[in-house]
Amino acid sequence: MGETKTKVIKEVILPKRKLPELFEKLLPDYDIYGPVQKAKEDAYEIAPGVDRKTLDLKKKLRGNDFQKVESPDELNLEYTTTVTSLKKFFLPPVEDLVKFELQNVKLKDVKEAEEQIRPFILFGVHPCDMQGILRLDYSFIKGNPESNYLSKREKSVIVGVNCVPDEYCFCEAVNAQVYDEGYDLFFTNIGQSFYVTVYTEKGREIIDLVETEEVTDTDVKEKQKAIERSRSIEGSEQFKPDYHNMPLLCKAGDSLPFWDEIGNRCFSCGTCNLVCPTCYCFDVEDVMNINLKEGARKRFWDGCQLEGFAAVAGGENFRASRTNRNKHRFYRKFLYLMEEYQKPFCVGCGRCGRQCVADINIIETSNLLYDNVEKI
Amino acid sequence: MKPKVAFFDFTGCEGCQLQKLNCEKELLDILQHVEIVNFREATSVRRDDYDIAFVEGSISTPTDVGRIQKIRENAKILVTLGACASTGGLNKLKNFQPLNEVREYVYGDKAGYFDTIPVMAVDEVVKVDYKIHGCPMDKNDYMNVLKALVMGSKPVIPDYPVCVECKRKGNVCRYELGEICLGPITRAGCDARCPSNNVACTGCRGLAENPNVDEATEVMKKYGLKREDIIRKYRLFYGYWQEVTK
Repeated sequence: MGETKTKVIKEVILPKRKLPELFEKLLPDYDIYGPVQKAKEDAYEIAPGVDRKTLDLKKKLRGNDFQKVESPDELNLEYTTTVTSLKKFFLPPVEDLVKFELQNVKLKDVKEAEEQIRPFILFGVHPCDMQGILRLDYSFIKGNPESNYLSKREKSVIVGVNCVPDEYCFCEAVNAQVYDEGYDLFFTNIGQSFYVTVYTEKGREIIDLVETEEVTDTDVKEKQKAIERSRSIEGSEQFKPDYHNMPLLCKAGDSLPFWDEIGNRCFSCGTCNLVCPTCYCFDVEDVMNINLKEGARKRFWDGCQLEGFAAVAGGENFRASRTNRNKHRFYRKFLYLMEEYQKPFCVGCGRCGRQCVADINIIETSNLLYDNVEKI
Repeated sequence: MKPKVAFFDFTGCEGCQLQKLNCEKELLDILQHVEIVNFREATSVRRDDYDIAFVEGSISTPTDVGRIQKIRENAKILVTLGACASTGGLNKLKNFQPLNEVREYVYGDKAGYFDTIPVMAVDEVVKVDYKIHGCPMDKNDYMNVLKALVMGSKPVIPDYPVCVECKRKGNVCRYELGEICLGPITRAGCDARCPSNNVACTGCRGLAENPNVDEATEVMKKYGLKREDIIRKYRLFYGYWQEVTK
């Protein structure tokens, strides 16, 4: 877990018809989560009188999400992206940190929130999301490990699959299209079979549950072709800056007027934060049960785009304007954390741009920064 | 000593009061913490020595004005329940039409017997301490405020847009499904109930804090709505905010 550049233990071919058998053997020991299409194509007909052309405004996300599955038939492995990122498995939208008991308005007892999590497999993780998880690992495990995060992360097994990118994907431009870091297993879709790369002992145990085939030269070629098709070329080519220069660009372009144009469009709805695989900010609130004797300290997803995020007692707000908040989020991806981690904290998944109702797109923002700094 | 609470209703459907009675699992617990001294829909007790007044409905007649002022005098804390009381809610639609016509439409030739004034939210008449939003108000929202008041702490009332709760739930955006949704500018706290049940947000909880209404208008235009359609959408629940509904 969290290890960098893993060595290949072995490579095998798994015919797709073997997948049900593999799932059957895994289910007694693991919960399996994978991409499921929640909103099918016909969901577009929910709204009467809507012109299909207007739908192109909101692209082809088509509502995939990681959900618990019992059989591989439920999976949509040829998906582009999911609504929510995979952080929800390690940092749930709402979770109990501790439970407590009061007596005469004084603290009587505090105990860890009881959590019975079974080991689980995330099946069908794309490279950008794997990189997202590795960045969360950095944030939650380096230094003082955060036990609530760690306890879930330790139970996870990650099976990657190659992506079907669209024009919002730009993982390659931020060096996040990485195939050999973090996975237990990686499945490359080569038609009738998966080309399986085994990276960990846990991965080996899993793949050894079923009979596999040896890799042939043709398979190797097919795998290379598949990986080539999975490159996020369209979006990555749109992204103009060299990502290494992003911290410098941020510093140089801090007072440029284009930031206000972006700020003016922003709803401050926090969507970009909440769908982002590397945004980890949260708020904590003590919630009492109705008996007013027991309660729980709950943790919720928060977001720096929300107006009240940087408000403090006394009514002061350190980032009161939308412009400042937008800049802040961008800097968290390409300046502050990047200088510390040496890699962008944006993994190019494109969720923020796809799901922004105001169509604020991180590729476009990066390009505006690049173009405007050039002009200085 | 248990705080004494009272419930009052003004112009509205009493749906919010019903929501309270729907807290069936919690009702007995609630009664451990408070004493109800006035609640027309649930008890025959009528007393005016209450600490906390929960008020439902909008102010829409001269009699209402006097009544709410009296309640304010009696109560230490006044909490509005639901859209009608907190923002004027649907009742505000009346204010976009000539008062006399509206009165005649409802009461016909008896209109003369019924005096009417433009609809106001409770805080347009008296000071309101806390607002529980929504049409109808959300049960959990109500419980949270009640718990906080009993414990003597300040209730947490969300000021951010519905999108936050929608994203926490992993919903597919209504815009992506080609629908118009007021979620990006509407106050959260409902746990994104409508979008989670396949219906776009109509804005019943009123506007979020500092909402970007201009951008919402732009987006709706992009989705093919005309200006008058957009204004009509805003008027449904944002009638209390003149800037967006004129």
